[in-house]
Amino acid sequence: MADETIILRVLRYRPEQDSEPTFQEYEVPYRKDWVVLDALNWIKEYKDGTLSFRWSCRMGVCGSCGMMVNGRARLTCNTFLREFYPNPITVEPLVNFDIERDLVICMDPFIEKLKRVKPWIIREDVKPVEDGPYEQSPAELYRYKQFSMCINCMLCYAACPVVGLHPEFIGPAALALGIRYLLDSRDQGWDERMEEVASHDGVWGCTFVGECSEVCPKHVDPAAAIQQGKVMATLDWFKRLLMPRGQR
Amino acid sequence: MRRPYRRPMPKTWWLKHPHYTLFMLRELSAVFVIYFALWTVCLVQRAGQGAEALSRFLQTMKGPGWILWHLIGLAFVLLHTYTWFATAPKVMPVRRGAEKVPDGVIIAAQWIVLLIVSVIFVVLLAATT
Amino acid sequence: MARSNEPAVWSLFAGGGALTALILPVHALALTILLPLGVIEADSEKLVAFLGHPLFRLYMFVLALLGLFHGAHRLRFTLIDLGLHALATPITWLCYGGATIGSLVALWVAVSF
Ligand code: SF4
Ligand code: FES
Repeated sequence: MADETIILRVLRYRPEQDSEPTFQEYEVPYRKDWVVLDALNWIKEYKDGTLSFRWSCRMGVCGSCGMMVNGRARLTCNTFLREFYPNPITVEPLVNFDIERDLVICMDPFIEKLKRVKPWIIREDVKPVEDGPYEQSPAELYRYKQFSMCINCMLCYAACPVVGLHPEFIGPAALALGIRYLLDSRDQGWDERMEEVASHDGVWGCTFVGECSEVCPKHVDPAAAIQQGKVMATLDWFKRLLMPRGQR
Repeated sequence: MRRPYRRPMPKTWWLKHPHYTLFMLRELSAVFVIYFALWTVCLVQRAGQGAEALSRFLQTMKGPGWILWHLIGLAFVLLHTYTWFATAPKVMPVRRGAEKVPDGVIIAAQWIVLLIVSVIFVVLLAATT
Repeated sequence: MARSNEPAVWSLFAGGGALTALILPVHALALTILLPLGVIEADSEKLVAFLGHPLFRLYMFVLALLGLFHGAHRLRFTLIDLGLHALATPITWLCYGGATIGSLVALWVAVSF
C-alpha cells in the first residue's frame, strides 16, 4: 500500500526563464490523510526545491494557500488527495490574478480594493479610552457577524467572472467587508464608505452569479452581503433624492 | 525578477462550470420575460379589435410551433421563479431579534403565495369567461 | 469614486423580478398555452370583456413596464458579460430605451382600448 502514487499536474511559471506558464507533472506518494498542500510540500522537499507557493497555518485559518484544484478555487490545506484519487490532480494559481511565480499570485490589486472600502470603524466622535468600549448588543453583532469571518483567501475573486471581466470591480470579499462596517452599529462612516460601496465598481458591478459564496471556506456568503448592499444603496439613493441636503 | 503573467479570460467562461452555465440560463430567462410581457400587450390589443380578431389570434397561437415555443418560455420562466425565490432570503434576510428566519421558511412562503395567486388567476379567468 | 445612479433601474429590475416570478408561471401557462388549446374554455365576447376590464389593462401595463425593465436590465449585463464590454454604453441605451418604448406602447394600448 505504501507505494501508491498520484500524479500532480502543476502550473509552473518562472519569470526569469519562461515566456508563459507550462504544466509540469510530478508523481507523489498517495496518502489517505494528505491534502494537496502536503503533496506540494513533498515535491518541494524531495523533487524540486524551486517550486513556489504560499502557505502558513495548514488549518484553514490564514487564507494563504488558495489555488485552483481541478479548476475550482480551493484552500489546498483542506482539500484531500483522496477526493480525486486515483485521477491526476491539476493545480494552478488562482485565476483572475496575475501570476507572480509558479502558484504564487500577485495580490496587490486585492489589497488596493480592500483599502477602498475603509475596513475599519470610522467615528465622528472618538471616545477617550478611559470611557470604555463602544457597546453593542448581541442582536447588533449578529447583523454583520457572518460578513466579518473572512480570512482574505481570495477564493471568491477566483470564482467571480465579473472580477475577470471587469478588473476594477471591488469584488466579493472587500465589498462584504465594506458592508460589514455599514451594518456595524458602532460605525459612523456610512457616507464616505457608501461612496465606494455604492459606486459603479462597487455592488453595482455584481451580476449575482453567486459562485463566490459557493467557494468561500468560511461561509461568509459575500454574494448575500453584496445583494443586501444593493438594497441599502437603493434605499439610500431614494432617501437622498427625496430629502434635500442637510436634512438627512 | 518580477514579470507578472496575465492569463486571458476565455470568452466561453460560462461553459467552464455548470454553475456558470446555469447562471447564463437564468439570465437568458429575461428574454422570455420580455417576450411574454409583449405577447400580453398584443393579446390586449387584439381584444381591443373585437371578438373576431381575438379568436383569430388565439387560433394562430394554437399552432404546434407556438405551443412548443411557449412551453420553452414557460420552462425559462419557472427557472426565473425558482432562482428568484431561492435568492430572496439572501437579498432580504428576515430577522427575529438575533435569529435569522431560516431560508427554507422564506422560500416555502413565497411558493405558497405563488400557489394562491395562481389559483386566483385561473379562477378569475375561468369564472368570468 | 462617485455613487452610481444604478438604483433608478435596479429598483425596477427588482420589482419586475418579483412580480414576474410570482405571476408569469400561471400567466404564461393559462393565457399562452391552455387558452389557445381550449383547455380553458372561453367565450370570445366574454374574453374580450375580461381582457378589456380596466383592472386587466392596468395589470397588463404594470406587467409590461416592470417586466420589460427587468428583462432589459438582465439583457444589458448578459450582453456585456458575453464579451461586448466595448459596447457597454450603446447596449445600455438600447436596452432601457427599448423598455421605455415598449412601456409607452403598452400604456397606449391600455388607454386606447
Ligand atoms: S469572502 Fe470567503 S472566499 Fe472570499 S476571501 Fe473571504 S474567506 Fe475567502
Ligand atoms: S495554509 Fe492557512 S489556510 Fe491553508
